[in-house]
Amino acid sequence: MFPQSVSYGKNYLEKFRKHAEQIRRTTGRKEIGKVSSVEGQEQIKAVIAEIVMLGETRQQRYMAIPNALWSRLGDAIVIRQAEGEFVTFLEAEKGAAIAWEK
Amino acid sequence: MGKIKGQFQPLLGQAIASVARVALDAPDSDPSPMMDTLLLTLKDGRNFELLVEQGHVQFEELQTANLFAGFELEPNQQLVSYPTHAIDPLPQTIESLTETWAGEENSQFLVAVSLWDKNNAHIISVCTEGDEAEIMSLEALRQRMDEMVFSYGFLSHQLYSSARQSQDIGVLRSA
Repeated sequence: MFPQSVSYGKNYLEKFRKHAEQIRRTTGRKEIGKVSSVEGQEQIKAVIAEIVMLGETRQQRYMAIPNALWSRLGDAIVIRQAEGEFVTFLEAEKGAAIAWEK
Repeated sequence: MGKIKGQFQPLLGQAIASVARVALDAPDSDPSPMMDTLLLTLKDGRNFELLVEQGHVQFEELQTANLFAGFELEPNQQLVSYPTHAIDPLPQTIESLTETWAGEENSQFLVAVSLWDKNNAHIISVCTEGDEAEIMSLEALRQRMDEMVFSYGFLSHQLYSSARQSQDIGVLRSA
């Protein structure tokens, strides 16, 4: 059983900025606000928690993390460190996410 | 999307004078370097920016001082250059470069670019497998490539050189 907790490192806002539009598009949550607002940040955290809780989770390499946790719900994939720290958000079947199918 | 082969060729024959990240600067915080970017300044003063997104690598000469990011800036934010010491010593002249591509034809994406000098000595490698521009030693990149072939099933390498036309230099495929 994989951990279902999600924690956030110091650069999580940088990651939220980079992926906010992708998260809105992939999950259909167009109401997610600006990353600069606390509300927007909480909305993104809620979506990530939902993907982790309800999605299928596997453990496989992501970049330099040999035992990363991949949680997939629909086309949305959340990558975490093995202990649960958020790493990034991926869109299925694109770039590094094609490793999910291998 | 993302299958722009040979986009680094404008670097051939050019000397790199400095390397930086693009950083996000806002009034209430220190500049925050963005790991998905790399900014190369050539000896002739031209600037090239690299931006890595999932499955897509953008590499462009900056025609103005305007840096770019993978998201829309807010009114109080600006992008600035944030120096790194990724290449030592500088300047170094690029004689050839190699691109490594992963995945089958329809899903193929760039996973690494390496720059080489006239003696085929390694200058710098940037791994673009994920959504960051990871600066790597040649040894670390080769270890990563050993893992990539199992992740994506197929790796191919393309050489671009000042002296020769581009050529495929190798293919790795998992069973």
